[in-house]
Amino acid sequence: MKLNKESITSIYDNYLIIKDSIKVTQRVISKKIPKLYNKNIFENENPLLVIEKIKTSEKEFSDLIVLALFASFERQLRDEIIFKSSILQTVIPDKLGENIDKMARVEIEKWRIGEIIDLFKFAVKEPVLGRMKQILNYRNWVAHGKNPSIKKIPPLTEPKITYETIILFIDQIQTFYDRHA
Amino acid sequence: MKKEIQDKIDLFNKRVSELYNKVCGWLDEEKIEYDKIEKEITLTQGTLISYESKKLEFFTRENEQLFSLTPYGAFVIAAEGRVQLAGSSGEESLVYLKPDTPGFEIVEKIGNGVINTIPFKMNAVKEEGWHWVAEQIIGKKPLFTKEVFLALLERIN
Repeated sequence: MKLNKESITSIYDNYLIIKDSIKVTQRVISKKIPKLYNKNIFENENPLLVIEKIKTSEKEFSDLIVLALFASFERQLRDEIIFKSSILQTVIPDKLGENIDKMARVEIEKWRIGEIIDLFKFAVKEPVLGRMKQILNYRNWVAHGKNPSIKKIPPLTEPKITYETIILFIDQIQTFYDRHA
Repeated sequence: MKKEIQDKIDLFNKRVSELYNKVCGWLDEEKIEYDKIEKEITLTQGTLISYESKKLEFFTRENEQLFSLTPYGAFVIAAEGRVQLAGSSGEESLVYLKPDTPGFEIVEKIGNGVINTIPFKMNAVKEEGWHWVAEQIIGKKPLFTKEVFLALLERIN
């Protein structure tokens, strides 16, 4: 199996580090320890306004992490399909197999992620699958500029739920593979 | 607005209100003196859904901000609503969760024959109520108890 959780977990771990760093910055500013934020964007600013700005930035940052987590997950799924499709290389005659494989690799990159997620229905069961589709809708809304005037903004999410759902999704595929090895 | 959506919003606001009462009760139990201000807020999700809710801000008797509780939304993934607990140096998310349906399991079949059943927990919580989305604790969401609340107050201030 090509799927691995390392790159996804690494994004989540980095998120936790930055999130705590933001918390420390807020503490420094709210306790008005000026020398600690000399020569940076916060210098000479009203601490209350700075805290508000940081909170807004944190929300934006959190959405970017949802995008990053989902992008990494999407890469994993595409790589898994490409890996499984390499059986096409065994088509005879060799040259035809090689060409079909080459074309398939290019085409798989164009497949819609919603349809790719559905390919794993055999292993990933409905509660996880449904939640992943909701996260995909949220990811799409963020990635397309968070249009406030669309009729129905998808249910909201944040990094932890996104991360946990991705891990459940990958674990269920792994469990299926293990049981059917 | 569809009745189903309105019902969800009403239920969310009822649960938010219960949360606020609980938090005030905990502050009283701990003999923490405070003043509070209630503010009406409007939450929107697209052009179809817009609803009123209430934010609570807590202050010391000296008018220093202690913390605030702000409804984030009734429509969130993997929970029945979310509220933000915010202090001067950070905020934490609280979500309303119910335990997974008893006996919920993944059933593997070949044709009509069941070949395997695997118990499956999605929310992994034991009781219905508000839970803390502890970002560093993967796979669990602790119940929002008085002890958790007091610990979070230190974390966000």
